[in-house]
Amino acid sequence: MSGRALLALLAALVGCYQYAPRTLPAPSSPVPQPAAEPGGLLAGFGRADITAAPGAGLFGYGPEGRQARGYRLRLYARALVLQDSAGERIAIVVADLGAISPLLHRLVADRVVGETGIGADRLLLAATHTHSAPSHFLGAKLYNDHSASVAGFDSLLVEFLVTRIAEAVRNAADSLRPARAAWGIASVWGHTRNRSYGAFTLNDPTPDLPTPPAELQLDERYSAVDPRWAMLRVDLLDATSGDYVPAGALSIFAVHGTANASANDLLDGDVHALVERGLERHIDTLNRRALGFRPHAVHLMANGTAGDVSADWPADTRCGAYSLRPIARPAGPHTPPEPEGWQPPPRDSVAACLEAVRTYMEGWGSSVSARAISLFNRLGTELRDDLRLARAFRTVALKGESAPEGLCREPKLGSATLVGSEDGNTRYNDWRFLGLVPIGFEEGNSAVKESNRGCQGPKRIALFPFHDLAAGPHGFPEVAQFMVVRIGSMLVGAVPAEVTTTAGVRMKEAMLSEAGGQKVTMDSVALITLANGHLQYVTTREEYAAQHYEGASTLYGPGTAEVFQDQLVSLVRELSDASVHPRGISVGPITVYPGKHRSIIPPASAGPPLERIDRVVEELGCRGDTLIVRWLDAYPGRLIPADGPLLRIEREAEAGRWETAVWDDDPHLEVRALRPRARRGYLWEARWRMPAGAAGLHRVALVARQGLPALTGDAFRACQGGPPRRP
Amino acid sequence: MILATYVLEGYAQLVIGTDAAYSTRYVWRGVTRTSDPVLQPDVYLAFAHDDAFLTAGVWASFEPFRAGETDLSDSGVGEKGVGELNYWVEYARRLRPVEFALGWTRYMYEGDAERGGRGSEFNTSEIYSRVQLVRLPLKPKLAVWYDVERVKGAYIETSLDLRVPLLPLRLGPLRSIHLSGLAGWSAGQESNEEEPSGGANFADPGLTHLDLSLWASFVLVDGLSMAPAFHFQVSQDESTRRTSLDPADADRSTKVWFTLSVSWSHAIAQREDSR
Repeated sequence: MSGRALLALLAALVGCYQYAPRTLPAPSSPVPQPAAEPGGLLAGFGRADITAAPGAGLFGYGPEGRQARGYRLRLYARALVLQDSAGERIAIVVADLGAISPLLHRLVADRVVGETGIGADRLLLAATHTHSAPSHFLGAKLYNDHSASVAGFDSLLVEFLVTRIAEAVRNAADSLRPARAAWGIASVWGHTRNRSYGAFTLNDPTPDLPTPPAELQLDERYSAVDPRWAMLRVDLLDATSGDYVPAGALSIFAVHGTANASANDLLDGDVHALVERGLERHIDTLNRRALGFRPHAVHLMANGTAGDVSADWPADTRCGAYSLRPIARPAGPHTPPEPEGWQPPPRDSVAACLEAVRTYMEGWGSSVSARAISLFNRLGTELRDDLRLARAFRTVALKGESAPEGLCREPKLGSATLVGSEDGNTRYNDWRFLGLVPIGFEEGNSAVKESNRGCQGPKRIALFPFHDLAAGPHGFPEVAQFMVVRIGSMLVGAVPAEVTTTAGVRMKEAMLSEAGGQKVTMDSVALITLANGHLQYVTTREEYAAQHYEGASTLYGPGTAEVFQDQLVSLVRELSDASVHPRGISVGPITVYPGKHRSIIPPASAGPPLERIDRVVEELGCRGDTLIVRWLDAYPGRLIPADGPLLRIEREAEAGRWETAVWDDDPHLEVRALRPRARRGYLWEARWRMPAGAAGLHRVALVARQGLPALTGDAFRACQGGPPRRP
Repeated sequence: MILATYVLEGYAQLVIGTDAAYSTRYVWRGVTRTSDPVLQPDVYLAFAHDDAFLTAGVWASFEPFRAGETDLSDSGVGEKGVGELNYWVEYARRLRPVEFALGWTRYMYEGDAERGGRGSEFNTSEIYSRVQLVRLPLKPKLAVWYDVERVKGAYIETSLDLRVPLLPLRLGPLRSIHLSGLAGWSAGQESNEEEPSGGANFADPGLTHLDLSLWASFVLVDGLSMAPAFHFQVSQDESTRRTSLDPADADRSTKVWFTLSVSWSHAIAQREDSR
C-alpha cells in the first residue's frame, strides 16, 4: 500500500472522508418521432422561482462569501423547449445559480423524461454563474465544503432545486406552440474585461477575436474578451390573434456573475438577472402587458467563455477580504493581549462599498439591457419557422482507465486557487510564511513551480504535501458531461466548466473546422459554459503555465482544454452522422460524491406552525432615502421566497386608489430574515431605497401566503433623506 | 445610570469578562516580586460603544505556595495567599490607526511587612495612559504611569511588536506569533536621595530593563482565548536585577519567565443590529 493510500485509509477510518457516493439515474430520451402532420418549429417557455429560504452559504467566493440572509433579485430557472418538424426536442434551461451539478442535471432529467421526452441527452442545464446563489448542491464534496463559507451538502436544497427546475421544464414543454426564431450576433464592448490578462498574453497563437471600434479607445484588457453576444429570438403563435408575438430569447454572453462583492449577504441574480429582466420587461411592453411581479416573457442568459472575463467593476466595488486582526474587547492594565481572529472589513466601508456595487450594477444592467433589446429588435425581421434541431451528448469519465488521453490521472488544485481571482481575492492572498517566504499564495510567481516534472506541469500543488490527504480520493468531480446541439444554423457546445476566452475560441474554431462541410462561420458557433456539471476552470496550455487563479483551478492538468476540444469535435461529428445513435443516445449512470447530508437551509417545519404566527408590521422607519420596514412572519423554511411574492409597497396614485410601487424582486429592495421572536414568529426586514422624487403616501402590503393572511400597513410619507425618523 | 440607560436603549453593549494568568514568577516593571509561581485573576465589567470601552475591574495576585527563606514574595516569607489587589478603571478608544487608553489603578497590598512582604504601607494609586499605532508592521506603543500618592513619579514603557504570520489556513487557532521588545524607564519612580523616606520602585532614573518576549494570543472557542508568553529580560536597574533574596541572586543581569493567560468575555446586553 502506498503512503498516500495509507493516509487516505487512515483518514477514512477516522471519518474525514464521508463522501456518501450516489449513483445518479441515466434517463435517456426516446427516439424522435416526426409529427403526423408536417409542421414547423415549436417552442415553449417556462420559469420557476428558485429563491431558497435564507441560510445557505453563497457560492463562489469561498471563505469570503457570506451566508444568505435574504434576497434582492430573485433567482429563477428559465426554460426554453424547442421541437422541430422531425420531432427532435431540446430543452435549454438557464438557472440563476453559481454552477450546475450532475446531480441537478440527472435528477431533473429523470423527473421530466416520462412526461416530456426530455432525458439527460436533451437537457442542457446551465448556470448564469451568479456568485450570490446557494452552494451545497454540488456533485463533489470539496466543492460543497469549500465553495462557500458555510460547509456541507444539503439534500433538501437539491430536492428544492430539482423540483422547481423540473417544473420550469414541464411548463415549457406543456406550452409548446408554433414558433418562429432567429439567431443574431452583436458585439458588446466596454462592459467586460479580461481579469487574467497576463496569462492571456502568453497565448500563441493569439486568439482571433473581433477588434473593438477605435473610437471606443478601450484598454487592452477590455479588448481581450470575446464580445460576441449570441441571441436566439423566439416568437410564438398567439392563438387569439393568429399572429406571432415576441415571447422570449436565449442569450449567450461571456461575463462572470461577480459584480456583487463577496460582502453581499443576499441571494441575487447579479448582472445577468438585470439583463434577463431588462429584455423581459421590454418584450412585455411590446406585447402591451402590464408590468407585474413577474414578467411574462422569458429571457435565458447563459454564460459564454467567461473563465477569465469579469464585468468592468470599478475598484470601489470590491469590499475587501477578512483579515487577521485583534478581536476588540475590553482591556485593562493587566488583561492579556487581545486574541486574533478573522474579521470582516470595517462595517462602514462595507456599507459604502455595497452601495457602490448597487449603483454600478444598475448602470451595467441598464446599458447592457439596451444592447440586448437592440439585438432582439433587429432579429424581428429574420424570424423563420423551419429551424432544424440536432443534439449529441456524452458522459466522460475523467479518472481511471477509461479517461481520455491527455488528462492527468489525479485532479489537483494549484496554490493560486486559494487566493481567489481579482474579482474576490481571499484572505489568503499574498500570504507569506513567517511574513517573508512566498509559498504560492498568489497568482503566478511563487505559484509556478518550474521544477515540477509530473503531469500537472508547473502547477504548485496547493497545501503540498497534504493536498491528497485534504482532498481525499473522491474530493473533486470525476465525470464531465458534454453536449453539442444544433439549432438552425447555430452550433452550440455545452461544457461543464469555466472556459477562458482563448480556450473557448480554440474550441469553437475546432468545432467549426469539423462542421466545415456545413459552411458555417465563427458567428455560427457558441459555447455555453457551466452546463450539466461543474469542474472549475479550463485554460489553454499557455495560460496554465502562468498559474494564475484560472490555471491553478484547471484540475486535470495542462491538456484539459485540448481534451475538451476533442470531445466537442467528436460530438459535432456525431451530429452530422445519424447512424451513430440509430436507437437514440444511451446515457450511462454516473456516480458522484457530494458528501453526507447536512441540514443547511431551514426545513418546512422550522419554528411554530403558521396558525401561531402573529403577522404584524412592527417597525417602519426612514434612514436617508431608504425605507426600513420590519414585520413578524413565518420562520424561514416555512416561508420560502420562491413560493410567491412576499410583499409589495404601494403608493397612493389618487385619493383612495393604490398602485404597486415596487415588488420584492427589485434591485432597490432588499429582504432579510433577521432573527426569531420567541414563539411569535420571525422578524423580517425589507429595505427599499426610494426613487428620487418619490413623494406622497405609501404603504406596505404583505401578500397572503398559504396559511397567512394578507396584511396592509398604515400609510406613511415617502423617505426623502435626512436623519433616521419615522415616516 | 446614564450608562445603564445607554445599554437599555441599545446604544451600547455591556460586557463581562474575566481572565486568569499563571506566571512562573511575578515580574512587575522588570522587578521580580515573587520567586515562585503566581495566579493572577482579573474580573471586569465594561460598557462598549462602537470602538470605545469604559471598563472597571478587580485584579489580584495570588501566591499559592509558601515563600521560602530566600524567596521574594509580596505575602512574606512563610506566607501564601493574596499578595496584591488592584482596582482599576480604564477608558480605551480605537481611532484607527491609533489606539489610546486612559486609566487609574489603586494598588493595595495584603502582605506581612514583618516577614518581608508588602503591607499596606505600599498602597498607592497611579494614573496612566498608553497609545499605540496599530496599522504599522512594527506596532510601537508608548505607556506612561504616574504615581500620584506614594512615589509621585512617572514610569514609562516603550515597546515594539512584530506579528509573524504562520500558515493562514484553518488548521488550528494559532495563526501568528508575536515578537515584542519593551524598554522600561523610570522618570521619577527611583530613589530620591533628597527625600530618602519617600517611596520608590527603582534605584536609579533612566532605563530599568529590556523585556524581549515571544507570545501568541488565540481564540479557543468563541469568547475564550489563550495567550502563552515567554519573556527574556535584560535587567539594568539594581531593583530589576534581583531575582531572589539569596545574595547570589542580587545582581542577575538576565532572567526568564513564562506566563499563560486564559481570557473569557461575553456581551450580556447585545446591541441591536443596525446594519
